Amino acid sequence: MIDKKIIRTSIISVLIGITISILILMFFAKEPGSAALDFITGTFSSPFYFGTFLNAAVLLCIAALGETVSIKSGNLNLGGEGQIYAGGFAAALVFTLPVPSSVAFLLGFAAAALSGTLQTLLAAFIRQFKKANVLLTSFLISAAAIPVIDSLIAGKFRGKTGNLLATEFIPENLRLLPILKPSPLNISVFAVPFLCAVFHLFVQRTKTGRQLTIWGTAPEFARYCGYSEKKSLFFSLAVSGAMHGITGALAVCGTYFTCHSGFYAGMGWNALSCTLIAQSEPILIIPASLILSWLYTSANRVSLMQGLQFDISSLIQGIILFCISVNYIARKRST
Amino acid sequence: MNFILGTLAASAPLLLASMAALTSEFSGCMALFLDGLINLSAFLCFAFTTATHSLAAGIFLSVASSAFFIGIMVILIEKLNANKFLAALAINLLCTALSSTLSSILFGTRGVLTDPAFVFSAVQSRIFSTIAAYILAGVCWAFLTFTKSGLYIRISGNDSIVLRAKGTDVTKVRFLAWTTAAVLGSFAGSFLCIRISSFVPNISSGTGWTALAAVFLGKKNTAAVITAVLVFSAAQYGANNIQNIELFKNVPSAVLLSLPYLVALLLILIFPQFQRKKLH
Repeated sequence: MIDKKIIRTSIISVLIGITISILILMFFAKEPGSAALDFITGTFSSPFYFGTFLNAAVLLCIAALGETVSIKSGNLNLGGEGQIYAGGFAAALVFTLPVPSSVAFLLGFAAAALSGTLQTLLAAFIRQFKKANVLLTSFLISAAAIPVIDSLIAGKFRGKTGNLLATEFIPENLRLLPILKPSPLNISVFAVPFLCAVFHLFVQRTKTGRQLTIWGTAPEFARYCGYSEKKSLFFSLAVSGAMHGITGALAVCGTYFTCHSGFYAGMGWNALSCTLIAQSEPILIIPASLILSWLYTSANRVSLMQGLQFDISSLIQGIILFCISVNYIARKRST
Repeated sequence: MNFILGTLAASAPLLLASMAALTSEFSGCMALFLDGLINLSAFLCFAFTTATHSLAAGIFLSVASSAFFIGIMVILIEKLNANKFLAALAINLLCTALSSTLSSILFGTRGVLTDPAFVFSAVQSRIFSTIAAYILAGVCWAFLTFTKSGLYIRISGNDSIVLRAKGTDVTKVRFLAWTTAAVLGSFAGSFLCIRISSFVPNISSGTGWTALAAVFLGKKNTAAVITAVLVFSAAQYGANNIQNIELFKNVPSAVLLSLPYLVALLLILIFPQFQRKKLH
């Protein structure tokens, strides 16, 4: 059961974050009134923005589901961005291999999941054998991976994409079917409710899921019960890395059709915020991702319309996460 | 000799960041805001110096405004009883975003910033920042070791109950720890900026995160943290010059960007076991 008080504190913190974000936009906008109105309604004004908003929510959801599992087990995976990037890069390379499309599709997603998982498993390994905080090592691994991937994209694997630093475009038959042209929204949107339900059932109804949760909330009790810490650590981080990697693959075959330099920017941190707003509850990730996606799509839209030269999204990212940090404690108190 | 001097010079910003991380760690919170703060303070140092045409004023105003910003955030965190880890992460994102936003608003670009009023001799700036960094680190060590406030900071993380029983306001102690960390972190940012006579986006290049790794390796022991910093810096110095060696001349420069993180990971993999045995 989800506590109503918890939902209320989540909503309040997000509302405060949104209010501060709108105030900042109004402060810098040439026409504050229309900017505020545009911020609220603009995303729903055209199929392009509406589809972009839903597509961003899909990507957020998938990555956030991975983050959910690691947070449930008490491990904060801060390397989401590097895992998403590695996943997208691996998928983009496999998708261009000269093999039948169905094989390439499956191999691409497997490679994406694996490339994310390898990063998180390394963090789990360091935690297990050196007791280093996953929070720190997952970030370090991701930060080390990003420039290497950048270098590979700009060098050996650069495709014929003009001025764009990107890999070769993937074949047409491997691109996910669009459902709201000209937006990037595609059929992956239908998989999200199913995945959220699967993760919800896994966490709530399976022995492994319950053990993970107990490790996250009461590690001493989990140890007393004889639950394997090693299994919980490695499993949760493997799932987290895999989901981030798959997010990268989805971004490549559904949105960009290539792996371009820096496509991951902000996705990892936004997925973390999404998970924290949803209180690591898989079902709540859907509304949380919709809210965050709307916020960022609107902010970018207004920023473009009002001619703001700076990246408003990253500012909002920080504000929202700060508001969530307040809510996080309120939630802990109420539980 | 060149290698030793080069390592010492390279260690200056990391040393300050590590002392900042150590101070915050003592008070019970990992300084996850450091990397962003270094970026922000580097930008502020550039902006204030070009505005006032005085480097001293630029550094002072950068340090003061960074400390003020962190101080305000600490008050908010304590008053609202926020989760310190998440709040520190949020501050990290906010600081980086603020430096980019302010750069765009004040200078009309989010790219590299240069100005005739912000040009310094490479050798002199290195010597000055290295000496200043070691003096500041020494002052911080003395403050943490020999003063009552320093003692309170050191026990506020693990034994805050003792402080409360004694009637000491733990919130004030944490405020002091975070603002001290902010002061040291912003000196690190300012020095990074001065050394290259310009502001470059993401100038910290993971200095804040490497500092956290150094504190982890040092197990909160100042001497061990400084040793870790010197090892990191030696590795960094070696990595920076690796392209001068015939065998490694084709190493892509983008790969060099990941070296600080790789070195940190490598040292974490090598050192902790040894440290634990030694301490227990």
